[in-house]
Amino acid sequence: MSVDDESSIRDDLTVAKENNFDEQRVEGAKFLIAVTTGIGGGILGGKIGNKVFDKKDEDVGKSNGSEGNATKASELTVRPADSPYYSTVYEIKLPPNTYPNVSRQRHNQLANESLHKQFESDSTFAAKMEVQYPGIVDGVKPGARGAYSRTAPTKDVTWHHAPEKGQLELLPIDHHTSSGAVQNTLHPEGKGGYSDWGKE
Amino acid sequence: MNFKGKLIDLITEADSFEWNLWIYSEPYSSLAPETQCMTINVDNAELAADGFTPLEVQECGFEELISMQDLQAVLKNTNSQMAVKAIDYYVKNDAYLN
Repeated sequence: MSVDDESSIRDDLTVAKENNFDEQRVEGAKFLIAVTTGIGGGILGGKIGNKVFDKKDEDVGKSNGSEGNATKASELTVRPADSPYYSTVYEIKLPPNTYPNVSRQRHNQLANESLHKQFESDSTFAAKMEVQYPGIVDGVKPGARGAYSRTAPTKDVTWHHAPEKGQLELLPIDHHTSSGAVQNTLHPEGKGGYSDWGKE
Repeated sequence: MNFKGKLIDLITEADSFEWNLWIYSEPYSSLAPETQCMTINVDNAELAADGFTPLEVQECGFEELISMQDLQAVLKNTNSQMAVKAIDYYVKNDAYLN
């Protein structure tokens, strides 16, 4: 790591800590974890919290994580590009009657509804998320027709269908699209959750 | 900006579209460069009687294909020669084509 890289991370951490983020190191990968109020009680089983996923040969996708959320501070992503790890910002368990054979658009709506209700019940969490992902609070509000958006909350995040049945995870988009080892963590053997439990 | 035309043309122009659109296509047995597609902002679209399907989509007989956000991500993870195959793979497997 160069001196410049170290300086960037230190600067990043300064910003992060000012916003109540803590640093977490996991086997060489570094993430910034927000200090949150703990497990949330969303209508759809929503959960504030970060799971830093660990890729091992027989243990892909198992959480070794701690409570918290998010992975970025300021505009710098501190996740190493070749890391097999990714972080979640928020996660929900879909009701069993919403899969299989329910559209991705509907899943996005349900997830956005859960996150919106979490924001309404925890303004501190909402404020922290807005700092990290500007526009996310408005992005999950119901629209003029009263319906929740069928897209991700903002362009910087995406709802990921995890391997576990019914589990949707909100990820930084740059984690989801990153090439390399993390793809096998996110999509073991080249398949994502929607192609497994999302379809019949 | 809404688009209606061939998939290959949508791919070419993908970067110019807003991320929050959804892409619909004609029913297909094998996704091809010539497959007809359209883009719609579903959150603002007029809906059909089922209260969910955009009216324009229903009238065309099109089906949900992929979000623009996912399409743009897929295209970042592949080269132009493999674009259609990579989109087809993502739609079928919910993962990026290596």
